[in-house]
Parts: sequence; C-alpha cells; structure tokens
Amino acid sequence: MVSGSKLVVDKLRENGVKTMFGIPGGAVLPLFDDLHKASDMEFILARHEQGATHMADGYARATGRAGVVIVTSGPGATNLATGVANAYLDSSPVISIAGQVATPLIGYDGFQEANIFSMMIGLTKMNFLPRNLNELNSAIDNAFKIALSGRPGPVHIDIPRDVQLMEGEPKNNTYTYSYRLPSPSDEKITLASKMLANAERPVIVSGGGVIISGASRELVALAELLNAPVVTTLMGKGSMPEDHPLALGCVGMHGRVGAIRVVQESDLLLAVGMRFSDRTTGKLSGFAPKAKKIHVDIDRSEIGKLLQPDLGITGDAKEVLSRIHATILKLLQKGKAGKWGERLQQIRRESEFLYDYDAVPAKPSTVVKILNDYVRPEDFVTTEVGQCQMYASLHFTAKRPRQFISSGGLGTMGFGLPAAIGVKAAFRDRHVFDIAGDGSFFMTCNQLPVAVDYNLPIIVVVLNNYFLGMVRQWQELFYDKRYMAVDLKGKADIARVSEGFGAKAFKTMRISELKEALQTAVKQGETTVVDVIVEREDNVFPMIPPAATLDEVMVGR
Amino acid sequence: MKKLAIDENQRFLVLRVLNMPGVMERICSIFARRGINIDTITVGVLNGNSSEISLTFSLPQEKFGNIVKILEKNPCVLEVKIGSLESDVIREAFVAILKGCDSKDSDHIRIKYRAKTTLLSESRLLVELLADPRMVNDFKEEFADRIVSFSRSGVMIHALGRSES
Repeated sequence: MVSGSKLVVDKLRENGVKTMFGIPGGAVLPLFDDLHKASDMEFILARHEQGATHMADGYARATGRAGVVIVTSGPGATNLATGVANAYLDSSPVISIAGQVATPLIGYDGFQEANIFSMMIGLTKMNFLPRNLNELNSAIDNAFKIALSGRPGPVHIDIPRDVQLMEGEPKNNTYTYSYRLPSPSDEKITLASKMLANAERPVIVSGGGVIISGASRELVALAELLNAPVVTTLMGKGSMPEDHPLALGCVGMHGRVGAIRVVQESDLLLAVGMRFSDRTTGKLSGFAPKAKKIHVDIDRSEIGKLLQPDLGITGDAKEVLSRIHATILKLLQKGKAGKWGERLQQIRRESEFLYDYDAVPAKPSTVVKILNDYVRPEDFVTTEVGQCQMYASLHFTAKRPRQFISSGGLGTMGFGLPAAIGVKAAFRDRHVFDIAGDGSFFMTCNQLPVAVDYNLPIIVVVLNNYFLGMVRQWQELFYDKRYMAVDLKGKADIARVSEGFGAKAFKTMRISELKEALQTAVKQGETTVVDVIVEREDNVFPMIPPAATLDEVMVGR
Repeated sequence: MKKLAIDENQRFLVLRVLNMPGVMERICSIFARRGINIDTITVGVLNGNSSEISLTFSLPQEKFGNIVKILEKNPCVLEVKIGSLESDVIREAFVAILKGCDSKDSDHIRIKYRAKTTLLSESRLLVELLADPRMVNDFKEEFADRIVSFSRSGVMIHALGRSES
C-alpha cells in the first residue's frame, strides 16, 4: 500500500530527481509531509512561485535534466504561469506540480481553488489532473518522458489533495507516451550535403536545438569542414565556442554586424534547431535573401511554419549534422567547400567592438566585456531581459553550450536571478553570474535570500541605469524621445537592499572598482550583488528597427 | 455546371486521442489561439483509453499543413487522419424547423432529400435529414430564408479507416 503523496516522491526519485524548488501550502501538505521523510532529496524553499519555476528552469537548462517545482493550489499555481510559459517558449523540461483542492470540491470555488488545468493547457507541452492512484502513477511517469523527449518542454500536474491521501496499489499505467525520434532519409541527407558542398558562401545558423541535442561537436566539425561561418540565435549562443575563428556571434535584432553580414551575403543557409523567430530574422522576407535555405529541426511543425525552406529535414541536430558531415567528407576530395576566404576576415575585423574602460559612469558594454575575465569556461552566466540581456549577448563570449542561459522566447524580466540559483543548485563548484538590469533586478530580487539561506552563492552584476532601459531606447529611437513610465528614479539603493537580504554588495560606477568587486566576489564565495551605475542613456547597438530587414541595421544613434 | 456546395478551404480531420478529461480543451485551444473557428465537432469514445474526434473547419491550404503537424506532435493525439468533406463524410445529421410550409413542401423535401418530415402547427415543418455534407448544404441553401431554427451535428459517420495500432 502506498499513499498518493508517497507515490509522487517515489516516482520523482525513480526519475533521478534530487533537487526541487517551490513553496508549500494547504492543498499540497500531504506531499510535503512525504518530502519531509525523503532525506536523500533537497527541497529549496523559494520566496515566490514564479521564481521557484525559474530556478527549476535554470536547473534544467544547465543540466539537461528535468527541473522540478512544487507549489500549492490557487495563487501558488497561478504564480507558476510566467515561469512555465517561459520554459515552454524556450523548450525547457520543467515538471511543475501543484496541489489542488480535493476532487469533490473542484469547481465549487473553494479556498485557494483556481482552474489551473485550463490555464496550463496553453502553456505546457502536456498537463494532467489525476483523479486516482492509477492516473497519478501514469501522469508522473509520462510527465518525465514527455518533458524530455523530442523537443523538450514543461509538463504540469495538478494533484488534488484527496488523491495525495489515497492509499492503494497503483496498477498499470492508464497510458504510456511513446515518442519515436525522427530519422531523415538518406536522400535528404545527400541532397543537403550536395547543396552545402557546392555552396560558395555557406552559413550555419545554430539555434537552441543544437544545445539541447548535444550537437556542438558535430556543429564545429561541419563548420570547419565547410569553412562556413556559424552564427547563432540567442538560444543557440554557446553552441559554437564564440572564440572559434568561424564563430561570428548572435544574429538578429541585436546581433553582431559580422553575423548579420554573413547571413545577408550567404548563398546557402543551414538553419539547425532554430525557429526563424522575428527577433532572429527581422523582416522575414529580407532574411538571407540570396540564400537557399535548409532547415533542420526535431519539431516537424517548425519546418515551413514561418519560412518555407528549399529543403526541410526533420531530425535530431546531432544525428543530422553528423550524417551530413560524413556525406560531405565523401563528396569533397580535399576538405573545404566554402569560398569565403578573405571576405570572412574582413567582416570579422569590421564587426569588432571598441571598449571605453575609463568612462564614468561605466559603459554597460565594457562592464560585460570585463566580466569575461572572471567567468571560467566551466562557469555559467544567466541574464535578465532587456538592454542588459542584449549587452550580454553581444559582449559576453560563451565558451561552451549551456554556459549562457537566458529567457529568449518569452523575454521574462526577472528570470536571471532565480535561474542562477537553480543553476548553482546543480553545480555547486562553479561560479554562476547573473547579468541584470535594475528593472529586472527588482522583479525577482526577493529570491536573493534563497541563495543566502541555502548557501548557493551567486554573483549578480546589475547594469544600473535607473531606467527600464530597452523600453526607453525604443521610446528614444521610435517615439521621438517621449519617455513614458520608464524612469526608475534610482532612489531604491540596490546595494543596501541586497545587504538587507543577507548578500554582500558593492556599488560602483568605475571599471577599476568593478574589477575589485568581482575579484572579491569570486574569491569570497558569498552571494554578491555588484551594483554598477552605468551611463543612463547608452543604447544597445547594433539594432534592427522593428519590422525592418537585417540590411537596415543601425550601428549608432 | 453546378457550383460546388463545399468550399475548397473546408477541412475535415479525424483525431484519435487519449480518453481523458481536458483533451477536448487542449485540442480546441490549438484552434482557438490561431483564430480558427471549428464549424462542427463530434466525439465518441472508442475504448477505455482512446476517443475519436471529428472536426470540420475552414482553413487555407498553406496554413492547414502546419495545424496537422501541431496536432500530430501533441501528446494527447494518437493519430491524425485527413479526410475530404466531399468524399469521406458519409453522413451528417441536420434537424430544422421551416416556416411557411405545406404538404407540398413536405413531399418535396421527403423525395428530394430523403428526409423525415413532420408538419407542425402554424405551417411549420420539422425536417430530420441524415445526409452527406453536400446534400445538407444544398438543403440549407434552398431553404435559407425559411429556416426558423436548426441544429447540425457534425460528422456522424465517415469513411476513414482506423489503423490497427
């Protein structure tokens, strides 16, 4: 005999879960009582359910395993919504579990009851509302399979209180989810290989799917074989080590000029594990206009969704890249296809950034540039959303996949800090940095005590311009500087707030002091917030204006 | 040549889905968030674990392919079959009350549409029609200005076979 709540704990353990995040409450107390007995599992108590979900999401992105968040019914579960949607948009395997009122009470508007089942339908890959032990057993088993298979994504389970308390022996699962990895035909692989081998200016666009698939090695090998530059989406940042000579950084609305140039000049684009998001392509009709396009994605519904490729290949990035590599090796007698030659070096030189190390207040781009010196290859960087995120995308050099963790699809301000805590929970011996803005910081800084309480020291670097910087930038450039509701005034002192939460804090507007602060933070190993006052109206460039093509890139005011 | 009663954007899908609460909502939300109006929907339980949903809706060809792929990848959906309203829908049920009818109308409808008719009070006629969509559309077109109320069932029976898996 087993209770529903004990069954949940057993199933989580069976699925390799060691760390969970969340907040308890009335409807989930039986489950927490069984978690109390699970001494081999760690539960990290968050300060708000949204942050708890970002922690689970950060954990999932850093490890590739499922991140688990457990909360109560009603407001606990509605607070999950942003975090779960964030995981969905970025294909992150988060398992969210919420208590629910007892089944006879569902639908009667009892205390802390909300229609979470319907709410979650549009935000998850799948969700369950088990009504008995069999369905509970089935829901958890399938949740992990669904979350992690194919294109990953979040799965939510609402567990009514009486189901947690039910006792019995669960029988066979009511259904078993099965997923078959698509494997493309030899004909398609051969056709793609010939197209690539014959291209003069091939470019590879690498998306988050390459990271999820673990295909970085195959990506580098193919790029080197073809002498093809690699650009990435924001989600694909780090799929190619950005210090590699063929890596040109992110392409898109705030992509690097070099990345934009090669895409626009290419005659063949191999897009892998990416979905032609508007933030990556700008106006789609002007994206790589001279190029034939090959689109590889594990999700069949992505191919042809926005852009009809010349060749669509449904498959796992690792397998497809590896097979294309092998086929091209046979096609090419002596290595190399692409004829970028000197043009690539020229483009590289033209897209180098200049940094001002003496400006006071500091330039945000320089702050991120300096941060590179303190991030070891094994460390992690998370970001918030807005200007800070784009400075990070442009000026942080990611050395490996999963090193750079950011909210791409949903663009959730407040993601980075709790995500950093989740990453740290998975990798206690690594440094985890969060590149934040002051607007984002205040959205989830209430989670700082979690880092302090659980000895999960993270380092938050705030690019503080006392503005909602990206909105201000848009208002400046596209609304004739009519600033509306973007001035954060700066009366709240981030350093003092952070100290109040138990963190170490530094406040500076100079690069020299920033270096000292980072040095101390890294050395001391305590949760630290470095509040860097930066130039207030600095804009992130390059920038593609909304609804413009990549050719219309702005490089300055 | 007679005008086609079924427009080229009309779609007919049969989904084999998990038989569990919320599946209908999940399927319908796929359509709703893309602004696609479902014209008819019928559901039946096949066995303890799976149900069948028949859907008709209107969607241009260039968007139809993507919807099919999205349905296919949904964990609730076990199988998607694409049918033709023209050739695969064998019967729909259509029940209507017409105004201004007499026994001649009743005979005409019985003979032309093979419908069951019942004269009600005040010249109203109850029509119970079990027919293919083309005939249902023809009937609606012919009596458009006399229909007082009606109900259309959606696909009652179709010719798409079920795979054995």
